[in-house]
Amino acid sequence: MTDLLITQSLNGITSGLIFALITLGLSIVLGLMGVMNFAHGSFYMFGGYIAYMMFANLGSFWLGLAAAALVCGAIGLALFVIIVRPLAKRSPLEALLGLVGVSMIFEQAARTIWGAEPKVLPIPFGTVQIQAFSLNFSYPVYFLVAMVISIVVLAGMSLLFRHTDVGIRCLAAIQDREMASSMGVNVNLVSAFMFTVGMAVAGLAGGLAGPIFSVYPNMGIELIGMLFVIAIVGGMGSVAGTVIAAITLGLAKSISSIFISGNLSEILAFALLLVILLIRPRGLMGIASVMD
Amino acid sequence: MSLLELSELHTYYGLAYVLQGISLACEEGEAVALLGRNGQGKTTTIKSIMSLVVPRRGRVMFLGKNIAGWPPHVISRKGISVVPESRRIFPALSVLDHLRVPVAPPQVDRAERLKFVFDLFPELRTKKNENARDLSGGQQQMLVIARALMMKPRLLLLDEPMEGLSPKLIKRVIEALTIIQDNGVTIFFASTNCELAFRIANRAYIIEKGRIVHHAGRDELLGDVEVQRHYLGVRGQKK
Repeated sequence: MTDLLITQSLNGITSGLIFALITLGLSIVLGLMGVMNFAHGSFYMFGGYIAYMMFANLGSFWLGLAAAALVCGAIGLALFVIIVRPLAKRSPLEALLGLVGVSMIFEQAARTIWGAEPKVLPIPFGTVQIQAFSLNFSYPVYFLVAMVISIVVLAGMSLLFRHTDVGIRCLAAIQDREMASSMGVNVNLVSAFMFTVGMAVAGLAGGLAGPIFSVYPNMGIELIGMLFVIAIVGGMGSVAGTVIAAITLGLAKSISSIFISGNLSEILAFALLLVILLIRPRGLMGIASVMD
Repeated sequence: MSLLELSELHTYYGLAYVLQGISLACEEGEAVALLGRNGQGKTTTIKSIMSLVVPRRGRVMFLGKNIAGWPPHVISRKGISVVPESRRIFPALSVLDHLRVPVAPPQVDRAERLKFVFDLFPELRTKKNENARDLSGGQQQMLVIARALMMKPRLLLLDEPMEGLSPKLIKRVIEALTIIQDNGVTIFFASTNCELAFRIANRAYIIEKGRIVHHAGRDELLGDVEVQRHYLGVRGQKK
Protein backbone atom coordinates (compact mmCIF):
# COMPACT_ATOMS: atom_id res chain seq x y z
CA MET A 1 0.00 0.00 0.00
CA THR A 2 2.83 2.42 0.89
CA ASP A 3 4.57 1.61 -2.41
CA LEU A 4 1.35 2.34 -4.30
CA LEU A 5 0.81 5.58 -2.38
CA ILE A 6 4.32 6.80 -3.18
CA THR A 7 4.06 5.74 -6.82
CA GLN A 8 0.76 7.59 -7.16
CA SER A 9 2.18 10.63 -5.37
CA LEU A 10 5.11 10.76 -7.81
CA ASN A 11 2.67 10.36 -10.71
CA GLY A 12 0.55 13.17 -9.27
CA ILE A 13 3.54 15.50 -8.93
CA THR A 14 4.71 14.72 -12.48
CA SER A 15 1.30 15.33 -14.02
CA GLY A 16 0.85 18.41 -11.80
CA LEU A 17 4.12 19.89 -13.03
CA ILE A 18 3.10 19.25 -16.64
CA PHE A 19 -0.29 20.91 -15.96
CA ALA A 20 1.61 23.87 -14.46
CA LEU A 21 3.76 24.15 -17.59
CA ILE A 22 0.70 24.26 -19.81
CA THR A 23 -1.24 26.63 -17.56
CA LEU A 24 1.45 29.25 -17.11
CA GLY A 25 1.09 30.72 -20.60
CA LEU A 26 -2.70 30.69 -20.30
CA SER A 27 -2.46 32.47 -16.96
CA ILE A 28 -0.11 35.17 -18.26
CA VAL A 29 -2.26 35.90 -21.33
CA LEU A 30 -5.41 36.05 -19.20
CA GLY A 31 -3.76 38.48 -16.76
CA LEU A 32 -1.95 40.57 -19.33
CA MET A 33 -4.61 40.90 -22.04
CA GLY A 34 -7.82 39.76 -20.35
CA VAL A 35 -8.10 37.17 -23.13
CA MET A 36 -9.33 33.64 -22.36
CA ASN A 37 -7.25 31.65 -24.82
CA PHE A 38 -9.41 28.65 -25.61
CA ALA A 39 -6.90 27.58 -28.27
CA HIS A 40 -4.19 27.17 -25.62
CA GLY A 41 -4.85 23.44 -25.22
CA SER A 42 -4.35 23.00 -28.98
CA PHE A 43 -0.69 23.97 -28.58
CA TYR A 44 -0.29 21.28 -25.96
CA MET A 45 -1.82 18.85 -28.49
CA PHE A 46 0.39 20.11 -31.35
CA GLY A 47 3.44 19.76 -29.12
CA GLY A 48 2.54 16.12 -28.54
CA TYR A 49 2.12 15.44 -32.27
CA ILE A 50 5.34 17.25 -33.23
CA ALA A 51 7.31 15.23 -30.66
CA TYR A 52 5.64 12.06 -31.96
CA MET A 53 6.49 12.93 -35.59
CA MET A 54 10.11 13.69 -34.78
CA PHE A 55 10.44 10.49 -32.79
CA ALA A 56 8.72 8.38 -35.46
CA ASN A 57 10.81 9.85 -38.32
CA LEU A 58 14.17 10.70 -36.73
CA GLY A 59 14.11 8.51 -33.63
CA SER A 60 15.14 11.40 -31.39
CA PHE A 61 12.96 12.22 -28.42
CA TRP A 62 15.04 15.26 -27.40
CA LEU A 63 14.90 16.75 -30.88
CA GLY A 64 11.14 16.21 -30.73
CA LEU A 65 10.88 18.17 -27.49
CA ALA A 66 12.92 21.09 -28.89
CA ALA A 67 10.90 21.09 -32.14
CA ALA A 68 7.61 21.00 -30.18
CA ALA A 69 8.59 24.16 -28.28
CA LEU A 70 9.97 26.01 -31.31
CA VAL A 71 7.14 25.20 -33.74
CA CYS A 72 4.43 25.95 -31.16
CA GLY A 73 6.13 29.23 -30.28
CA ALA A 74 6.22 30.21 -33.97
CA ILE A 75 2.56 29.23 -34.54
CA GLY A 76 1.68 31.11 -31.33
CA LEU A 77 3.32 34.30 -32.56
CA ALA A 78 1.49 34.04 -35.89
CA LEU A 79 -1.81 33.43 -34.07
CA PHE A 80 -1.16 36.47 -31.86
CA VAL A 81 -0.46 38.77 -34.82
CA ILE A 82 -3.23 37.50 -37.11
CA ILE A 83 -6.08 36.69 -34.71
CA VAL A 84 -5.53 37.54 -31.05
CA ARG A 85 -4.30 41.13 -31.20
CA PRO A 86 -6.84 42.44 -33.75
CA LEU A 87 -9.77 40.74 -31.97
CA ALA A 88 -8.60 41.66 -28.44
CA LYS A 89 -8.44 45.31 -29.55
CA ARG A 90 -12.17 45.17 -30.24
CA SER A 91 -13.22 43.23 -27.11
CA PRO A 92 -12.08 40.27 -25.01
CA LEU A 93 -15.36 38.52 -25.90
CA GLU A 94 -14.57 38.67 -29.63
CA ALA A 95 -11.11 37.29 -28.92
CA LEU A 96 -12.63 34.49 -26.86
CA LEU A 97 -15.07 33.53 -29.64
CA GLY A 98 -12.32 33.71 -32.25
CA LEU A 99 -10.07 31.46 -30.18
CA VAL A 100 -12.85 28.90 -29.63
CA GLY A 101 -13.08 28.74 -33.44
CA VAL A 102 -9.32 28.42 -33.76
CA SER A 103 -9.23 25.53 -31.27
CA MET A 104 -11.90 23.70 -33.29
CA ILE A 105 -9.98 24.26 -36.52
CA PHE A 106 -6.78 22.99 -34.89
CA GLU A 107 -8.50 19.88 -33.54
CA GLN A 108 -10.04 19.03 -36.91
CA ALA A 109 -6.73 19.70 -38.64
CA ALA A 110 -5.00 17.26 -36.26
CA ARG A 111 -7.74 14.67 -36.86
CA THR A 112 -7.33 15.08 -40.64
CA ILE A 113 -3.52 14.93 -40.60
CA TRP A 114 -2.88 12.27 -37.96
CA GLY A 115 -6.23 10.48 -37.62
CA ALA A 116 -8.46 10.02 -34.58
CA GLU A 117 -6.56 7.10 -33.05
CA PRO A 118 -4.21 7.96 -30.17
CA LYS A 119 -0.52 7.91 -31.01
CA VAL A 120 1.58 6.22 -28.41
CA LEU A 121 5.12 7.37 -27.82
CA PRO A 122 7.29 4.73 -26.19
CA ILE A 123 8.43 5.64 -22.69
CA PRO A 124 12.18 6.27 -22.96
CA PHE A 125 14.85 5.22 -20.44
CA GLY A 126 13.17 2.13 -18.88
CA THR A 127 12.58 1.84 -15.14
CA VAL A 128 14.52 2.23 -11.92
CA GLN A 129 14.15 -0.01 -8.89
CA ILE A 130 13.67 2.03 -5.74
CA GLN A 131 14.71 0.24 -2.55
CA ALA A 132 14.84 2.30 0.62
CA PHE A 133 13.60 1.67 4.15
CA SER A 134 10.68 -0.72 3.67
CA LEU A 135 10.00 0.50 0.14
CA ASN A 136 10.60 -1.64 -2.88
CA PHE A 137 9.06 -0.63 -6.19
CA SER A 138 10.03 0.08 -9.78
CA TYR A 139 9.36 3.49 -11.34
CA PRO A 140 9.77 4.77 -14.92
CA VAL A 141 12.91 6.93 -15.19
CA TYR A 142 11.16 9.04 -17.80
CA PHE A 143 8.62 10.28 -15.24
CA LEU A 144 11.48 11.55 -13.09
CA VAL A 145 13.15 13.14 -16.15
CA ALA A 146 9.85 14.86 -17.07
CA MET A 147 9.64 16.10 -13.49
CA VAL A 148 13.16 17.56 -13.63
CA ILE A 149 12.62 19.20 -17.05
CA SER A 150 9.36 20.74 -15.82
CA ILE A 151 11.03 22.09 -12.68
CA VAL A 152 13.90 23.57 -14.71
CA VAL A 153 11.51 25.29 -17.16
CA LEU A 154 9.26 26.58 -14.36
CA ALA A 155 12.29 27.88 -12.46
CA GLY A 156 13.41 29.58 -15.68
CA MET A 157 9.98 31.23 -16.03
CA SER A 158 10.15 32.36 -12.42
CA LEU A 159 13.60 33.87 -13.02
CA LEU A 160 12.27 35.56 -16.17
CA PHE A 161 9.50 37.21 -14.15
CA ARG A 162 11.52 38.19 -11.13
CA HIS A 163 14.94 39.03 -12.50
CA THR A 164 14.57 40.41 -16.02
CA ASP A 165 13.24 43.78 -17.13
CA VAL A 166 10.80 42.19 -19.58
CA GLY A 167 9.40 39.90 -16.87
CA ILE A 168 9.01 42.73 -14.36
CA ARG A 169 7.34 44.90 -17.01
CA CYS A 170 5.01 42.01 -17.82
CA LEU A 171 4.04 41.72 -14.14
CA ALA A 172 3.53 45.48 -14.00
CA ALA A 173 1.27 45.33 -17.08
CA ILE A 174 -0.73 42.46 -15.55
CA GLN A 175 -1.36 44.66 -12.50
CA ASP A 176 -2.05 47.95 -14.31
CA ARG A 177 -1.83 47.91 -18.08
CA GLU A 178 -2.49 51.65 -18.45
CA MET A 179 0.11 52.65 -15.90
CA ALA A 180 2.75 50.34 -17.41
CA SER A 181 2.04 51.89 -20.78
CA SER A 182 2.50 55.37 -19.28
CA MET A 183 5.93 54.24 -18.10
CA GLY A 184 7.06 53.61 -21.67
CA VAL A 185 6.22 49.89 -21.70
CA ASN A 186 5.01 48.73 -25.10
CA VAL A 187 2.35 46.43 -23.69
CA ASN A 188 1.52 44.97 -27.11
CA LEU A 189 5.13 43.92 -27.62
CA VAL A 190 5.33 42.43 -24.12
CA SER A 191 2.05 40.60 -24.80
CA ALA A 192 3.39 39.20 -28.10
CA PHE A 193 6.55 37.99 -26.38
CA MET A 194 4.70 36.40 -23.48
CA PHE A 195 2.10 34.81 -25.79
CA THR A 196 4.91 33.26 -27.85
CA VAL A 197 6.74 32.00 -24.75
CA GLY A 198 3.48 30.64 -23.31
CA MET A 199 2.71 28.70 -26.50
CA ALA A 200 6.27 27.37 -26.72
CA VAL A 201 6.07 26.11 -23.13
CA ALA A 202 2.62 24.54 -23.81
CA GLY A 203 4.13 22.78 -26.85
CA LEU A 204 7.01 21.53 -24.74
CA ALA A 205 4.51 20.25 -22.16
CA GLY A 206 2.67 18.39 -24.94
CA GLY A 207 5.93 16.75 -26.03
CA LEU A 208 6.76 15.81 -22.43
CA ALA A 209 3.27 14.44 -21.84
CA GLY A 210 3.26 12.35 -25.04
CA PRO A 211 4.89 9.23 -23.56
CA ILE A 212 2.82 9.54 -20.35
CA PHE A 213 -0.72 10.20 -21.60
CA SER A 214 -0.46 9.40 -25.38
CA VAL A 215 -1.36 11.92 -28.11
CA TYR A 216 -4.84 12.39 -29.61
CA PRO A 217 -6.74 15.23 -31.33
CA ASN A 218 -8.95 16.37 -28.46
CA MET A 219 -6.33 16.09 -25.71
CA GLY A 220 -6.09 19.89 -25.59
CA ILE A 221 -9.80 20.70 -25.64
CA GLU A 222 -10.61 18.22 -22.88
CA LEU A 223 -7.97 19.85 -20.64
CA ILE A 224 -8.88 23.49 -21.19
CA GLY A 225 -11.51 23.76 -18.41
CA MET A 226 -9.08 22.35 -15.88
CA LEU A 227 -6.34 24.73 -17.05
CA PHE A 228 -8.55 27.76 -16.46
CA VAL A 229 -9.38 26.53 -12.96
CA ILE A 230 -5.66 26.08 -12.20
CA ALA A 231 -4.88 29.54 -13.62
CA ILE A 232 -7.51 31.27 -11.50
CA VAL A 233 -6.80 29.30 -8.32
CA GLY A 234 -3.05 29.84 -8.72
CA GLY A 235 -3.34 33.56 -9.39
CA MET A 236 -2.70 35.10 -12.77
CA GLY A 237 0.96 35.56 -13.64
CA SER A 238 2.11 33.75 -10.51
CA VAL A 239 4.51 30.88 -11.22
CA ALA A 240 4.48 29.66 -7.60
CA GLY A 241 0.67 29.82 -7.34
CA THR A 242 0.21 28.00 -10.64
CA VAL A 243 2.63 25.24 -9.58
CA ILE A 244 0.94 24.79 -6.17
CA ALA A 245 -2.55 24.68 -7.72
CA ALA A 246 -1.46 22.27 -10.47
CA ILE A 247 0.36 19.90 -8.11
CA THR A 248 -2.59 19.98 -5.68
CA LEU A 249 -4.85 18.95 -8.55
CA GLY A 250 -2.41 16.31 -9.82
CA LEU A 251 -1.96 14.80 -6.36
CA ALA A 252 -5.68 14.89 -5.52
CA LYS A 253 -6.52 13.10 -8.77
CA SER A 254 -3.72 10.60 -8.51
CA ILE A 255 -3.99 9.64 -4.85
CA SER A 256 -7.79 9.57 -4.72
CA SER A 257 -7.81 7.23 -7.73
CA ILE A 258 -6.36 4.52 -5.43
CA PHE A 259 -9.56 4.54 -3.41
CA ILE A 260 -12.28 5.67 -5.82
CA SER A 261 -12.99 5.48 -9.55
CA GLY A 262 -11.23 7.78 -12.02
CA ASN A 263 -14.29 9.97 -12.68
CA LEU A 264 -14.98 10.44 -8.98
CA SER A 265 -11.34 11.33 -8.32
CA GLU A 266 -11.60 14.06 -10.98
CA ILE A 267 -14.71 15.46 -9.29
CA LEU A 268 -12.92 15.41 -5.93
CA ALA A 269 -9.88 17.21 -7.35
CA PHE A 270 -11.99 20.00 -8.86
CA ALA A 271 -14.06 20.29 -5.67
CA LEU A 272 -10.81 20.81 -3.74
CA LEU A 273 -9.75 23.63 -6.07
CA LEU A 274 -13.17 25.25 -5.82
CA VAL A 275 -12.94 25.17 -2.01
CA ILE A 276 -9.55 26.93 -2.27
CA LEU A 277 -11.13 29.51 -4.58
CA LEU A 278 -13.98 30.09 -2.10
CA ILE A 279 -11.50 30.66 0.72
CA ARG A 280 -9.13 32.79 -1.39
CA PRO A 281 -11.16 34.41 -4.20
CA ARG A 282 -8.06 36.09 -5.64
CA GLY A 283 -6.23 32.79 -5.95
CA LEU A 284 -3.38 31.35 -3.94
CA MET A 285 -0.85 33.99 -4.97
CA GLY A 286 -3.17 36.27 -6.95
CA ILE A 287 -2.28 39.84 -7.69
CA ALA A 288 -5.10 41.80 -6.08
CA SER A 289 -5.65 44.42 -8.75
CA VAL A 290 -6.00 41.83 -11.51
CA MET A 291 -9.18 40.47 -9.99
CA ASP A 292 -10.66 43.82 -8.91
CA MET B 1 7.97 77.74 -28.70
CA SER B 2 6.38 76.37 -25.50
CA LEU B 3 7.47 72.96 -24.22
CA LEU B 4 3.82 71.89 -23.97
CA GLU B 5 0.91 73.56 -25.67
CA LEU B 6 -2.67 72.35 -25.68
CA SER B 7 -4.91 74.03 -28.18
CA GLU B 8 -8.65 73.59 -28.46
CA LEU B 9 -8.58 70.14 -26.89
CA HIS B 10 -11.92 68.33 -26.87
CA THR B 11 -12.20 65.01 -25.02
CA TYR B 12 -15.16 62.73 -24.46
CA TYR B 13 -15.87 59.67 -22.32
CA GLY B 14 -18.36 57.95 -24.59
CA LEU B 15 -21.14 60.53 -24.92
CA ALA B 16 -19.93 62.62 -21.96
CA TYR B 17 -18.31 65.80 -23.28
CA VAL B 18 -15.61 66.45 -20.69
CA LEU B 19 -12.95 68.77 -22.12
CA GLN B 20 -14.64 71.47 -24.14
CA GLY B 21 -11.80 73.21 -25.93
CA ILE B 22 -8.91 73.44 -23.46
CA SER B 23 -5.99 75.68 -24.43
CA LEU B 24 -2.95 76.22 -22.23
CA ALA B 25 0.84 76.26 -22.38
CA CYS B 26 3.88 75.42 -20.24
CA GLU B 27 7.29 76.95 -20.85
CA GLU B 28 10.47 74.96 -20.36
CA GLY B 29 11.56 74.84 -16.70
CA GLU B 30 8.48 76.37 -15.09
CA ALA B 31 5.88 74.88 -12.76
CA VAL B 32 2.26 75.38 -13.74
CA ALA B 33 -0.84 74.36 -11.80
CA LEU B 34 -4.22 73.36 -13.15
CA LEU B 35 -6.70 74.32 -10.46
CA GLY B 36 -10.34 73.43 -10.15
CA ARG B 37 -12.92 71.71 -8.03
CA ASN B 38 -13.41 67.95 -8.32
CA GLY B 39 -15.00 66.73 -11.53
CA GLN B 40 -14.11 69.77 -13.66
CA GLY B 41 -11.70 67.98 -16.03
CA LYS B 42 -8.26 68.18 -14.38
CA THR B 43 -7.56 64.43 -14.51
CA THR B 44 -8.98 64.19 -18.03
CA THR B 45 -6.61 66.96 -19.15
CA ILE B 46 -3.62 64.99 -17.85
CA LYS B 47 -4.97 61.76 -19.35
CA SER B 48 -5.52 63.51 -22.68
CA ILE B 49 -1.90 64.71 -22.76
CA MET B 50 -0.74 61.11 -22.20
CA SER B 51 -3.34 59.68 -24.65
CA LEU B 52 -4.78 57.55 -21.87
CA VAL B 53 -7.99 59.08 -23.14
CA VAL B 54 -7.61 60.04 -26.77
CA PRO B 55 -8.89 63.57 -27.52
CA ARG B 56 -11.39 63.79 -30.37
CA ARG B 57 -10.21 67.20 -31.52
CA GLY B 58 -7.43 69.65 -30.83
CA ARG B 59 -3.68 69.51 -30.57
CA VAL B 60 -1.20 68.49 -27.89
CA MET B 61 2.08 70.05 -28.99
CA PHE B 62 5.19 68.79 -27.19
CA LEU B 63 8.65 69.86 -28.34
CA GLY B 64 7.04 71.17 -31.48
CA LYS B 65 5.23 67.95 -32.43
CA ASN B 66 1.54 67.17 -32.20
CA ILE B 67 1.47 64.08 -29.98
CA ALA B 68 -2.33 63.88 -29.63
CA GLY B 69 -3.40 60.27 -30.02
CA TRP B 70 0.12 58.81 -30.02
CA PRO B 71 0.41 55.57 -28.00
CA PRO B 72 1.13 56.35 -24.32
CA HIS B 73 4.41 54.42 -24.31
CA VAL B 74 5.72 56.52 -27.22
CA ILE B 75 4.67 59.78 -25.54
CA SER B 76 6.37 58.64 -22.36
CA ARG B 77 9.62 57.84 -24.18
CA LYS B 78 9.47 61.30 -25.82
CA GLY B 79 9.96 62.83 -22.38
CA ILE B 80 6.65 63.08 -20.50
CA SER B 81 6.19 61.19 -17.23
CA VAL B 82 3.04 61.00 -15.19
CA VAL B 83 2.31 60.64 -11.47
CA PRO B 84 -1.34 59.59 -11.43
CA GLU B 85 -4.07 60.31 -8.94
CA SER B 86 -4.39 57.70 -6.16
CA ARG B 87 -0.77 56.69 -6.78
CA ARG B 88 -1.51 53.47 -8.69
CA ILE B 89 1.47 51.47 -7.50
CA PHE B 90 2.01 47.94 -8.78
CA PRO B 91 1.04 46.17 -5.53
CA ALA B 92 2.93 42.95 -6.15
CA LEU B 93 6.24 44.59 -7.10
CA SER B 94 9.04 45.66 -4.78
CA VAL B 95 10.30 49.25 -4.61
CA LEU B 96 13.33 48.38 -6.74
CA ASP B 97 11.20 46.52 -9.29
CA HIS B 98 8.99 49.62 -9.61
CA LEU B 99 12.05 51.58 -10.62
CA ARG B 100 12.90 48.95 -13.25
CA VAL B 101 9.50 49.18 -14.98
CA PRO B 102 10.01 52.49 -16.86
CA VAL B 103 11.50 52.14 -20.34
CA ALA B 104 13.72 55.18 -20.57
CA PRO B 105 15.35 56.39 -23.79
CA PRO B 106 18.75 54.69 -24.43
CA GLN B 107 20.80 57.74 -23.46
CA VAL B 108 19.40 57.68 -19.91
CA ASP B 109 21.77 56.09 -17.39
CA ARG B 110 19.71 53.91 -15.07
CA ALA B 111 22.37 53.88 -12.31
CA GLU B 112 22.53 57.69 -12.33
CA ARG B 113 18.74 57.88 -12.17
CA LEU B 114 18.59 55.41 -9.28
CA LYS B 115 21.13 57.50 -7.38
CA PHE B 116 19.12 60.65 -8.09
CA VAL B 117 15.80 59.24 -6.86
CA PHE B 118 17.36 57.56 -3.82
CA ASP B 119 19.12 60.81 -2.90
CA LEU B 120 15.80 62.61 -3.32
CA PHE B 121 13.89 60.06 -1.24
CA PRO B 122 16.36 58.25 1.06
CA GLU B 123 13.45 56.29 2.63
CA LEU B 124 13.10 54.39 -0.62
CA ARG B 125 16.73 53.28 -0.53
CA THR B 126 16.26 51.66 2.87
CA LYS B 127 13.04 49.99 1.74
CA LYS B 128 14.14 49.06 -1.78
CA ASN B 129 13.46 45.34 -1.36
CA GLU B 130 10.09 45.80 0.36
CA ASN B 131 6.81 45.22 -1.38
CA ALA B 132 5.24 48.51 -2.53
CA ARG B 133 1.88 47.67 -0.96
CA ASP B 134 3.58 47.51 2.47
CA LEU B 135 4.77 51.14 2.27
CA SER B 136 2.93 53.99 3.98
CA GLY B 137 0.81 56.32 1.85
CA GLY B 138 3.53 58.97 1.88
CA GLN B 139 6.22 56.50 0.90
CA GLN B 140 4.02 55.23 -1.92
CA GLN B 141 3.67 58.80 -3.17
CA MET B 142 7.46 59.18 -3.10
CA LEU B 143 7.75 55.88 -4.97
CA VAL B 144 5.45 56.92 -7.81
CA ILE B 145 7.29 60.24 -8.17
CA ALA B 146 10.60 58.33 -8.20
CA ARG B 147 9.17 55.87 -10.75
CA ALA B 148 8.22 58.76 -13.04
CA LEU B 149 11.68 60.32 -12.67
CA MET B 150 13.43 57.13 -13.82
CA MET B 151 12.50 58.18 -17.38
CA LYS B 152 14.49 61.42 -16.93
CA PRO B 153 11.49 63.36 -18.24
CA ARG B 154 11.48 66.87 -19.70
CA LEU B 155 7.92 67.30 -18.43
CA LEU B 156 6.45 65.82 -15.26
CA LEU B 157 2.67 65.62 -15.00
CA LEU B 158 1.21 65.13 -11.54
CA ASP B 159 -2.42 64.57 -10.68
CA GLU B 160 -3.21 65.78 -7.14
CA PRO B 161 0.29 65.03 -5.84
CA MET B 162 -0.49 66.22 -2.30
CA GLU B 163 -3.91 64.66 -1.91
CA GLY B 164 -4.38 62.65 1.28
CA LEU B 165 -0.93 63.42 2.68
CA SER B 166 -0.13 64.76 6.15
CA PRO B 167 1.25 68.35 6.39
CA LYS B 168 4.73 66.92 7.08
CA LEU B 169 4.61 64.76 3.95
CA ILE B 170 3.19 67.59 1.87
CA LYS B 171 6.26 69.61 2.87
CA ARG B 172 8.49 66.71 1.73
CA VAL B 173 6.72 66.44 -1.62
CA ILE B 174 6.93 70.20 -2.18
CA GLU B 175 10.65 70.16 -1.37
CA ALA B 176 11.19 67.25 -3.74
CA LEU B 177 9.25 68.92 -6.56
CA THR B 178 11.30 72.09 -6.08
CA ILE B 179 14.53 70.08 -6.45
CA ILE B 180 13.11 68.32 -9.50
CA GLN B 181 12.25 71.68 -11.06
CA ASP B 182 15.72 73.00 -10.20
CA ASN B 183 17.07 70.06 -12.19
CA GLY B 184 15.41 71.45 -15.28
CA VAL B 185 12.20 69.42 -15.29
CA THR B 186 9.03 71.29 -16.24
CA ILE B 187 6.15 70.56 -13.89
CA PHE B 188 2.46 70.61 -14.72
CA PHE B 189 0.12 69.44 -12.00
CA ALA B 190 -3.53 69.31 -11.09
CA SER B 191 -4.71 70.45 -7.68
CA THR B 192 -7.82 71.54 -5.83
CA ASN B 193 -5.80 73.52 -3.30
CA CYS B 194 -4.80 76.97 -4.51
CA GLU B 195 -2.54 77.85 -1.58
CA LEU B 196 -0.57 74.58 -1.69
CA ALA B 197 -0.33 74.71 -5.46
CA PHE B 198 1.38 78.09 -5.37
CA ARG B 199 4.07 76.75 -3.08
CA ILE B 200 5.29 75.01 -6.25
CA ALA B 201 3.75 76.81 -9.22
CA ASN B 202 4.49 80.29 -10.47
CA ARG B 203 1.23 80.53 -12.40
CA ALA B 204 -2.02 78.61 -12.75
CA TYR B 205 -4.94 77.89 -15.02
CA ILE B 206 -8.39 77.44 -13.52
CA ILE B 207 -10.64 74.86 -15.12
CA GLU B 208 -14.40 74.70 -14.75
CA LYS B 209 -16.77 72.36 -16.57
CA GLY B 210 -14.07 71.40 -19.05
CA ARG B 211 -13.09 74.95 -19.97
CA ILE B 212 -10.20 77.18 -18.89
CA VAL B 213 -11.95 80.08 -17.21
CA HIS B 214 -9.05 81.96 -15.68
CA HIS B 215 -5.30 82.22 -15.98
CA ALA B 216 -3.07 84.18 -13.62
CA GLY B 217 0.30 84.36 -11.92
CA ARG B 218 0.92 83.46 -8.26
CA ASP B 219 0.57 86.93 -6.72
CA GLU B 220 -2.44 87.89 -8.78
CA LEU B 221 -4.39 84.73 -8.02
CA LEU B 222 -3.47 84.51 -4.34
CA GLY B 223 -4.59 88.12 -3.95
CA ASP B 224 -7.90 87.59 -5.74
CA VAL B 225 -10.16 86.03 -3.13
CA GLU B 226 -13.22 86.54 -5.31
CA VAL B 227 -11.81 84.35 -8.10
CA GLN B 228 -10.71 81.76 -5.58
CA ARG B 229 -14.14 81.71 -3.94
CA HIS B 230 -15.99 81.59 -7.24
CA TYR B 231 -14.00 78.87 -8.99
CA LEU B 232 -12.27 76.96 -6.22
CA GLY B 233 -14.71 77.24 -3.33
CA VAL B 234 -12.12 78.91 -1.09
CA ARG B 235 -13.54 80.76 1.91
CA GLY B 236 -12.33 84.30 2.49
CA GLN B 237 -13.22 87.92 2.92
CA LYS B 238 -14.88 89.51 -0.06
CA LYS B 239 -12.87 92.51 -1.23
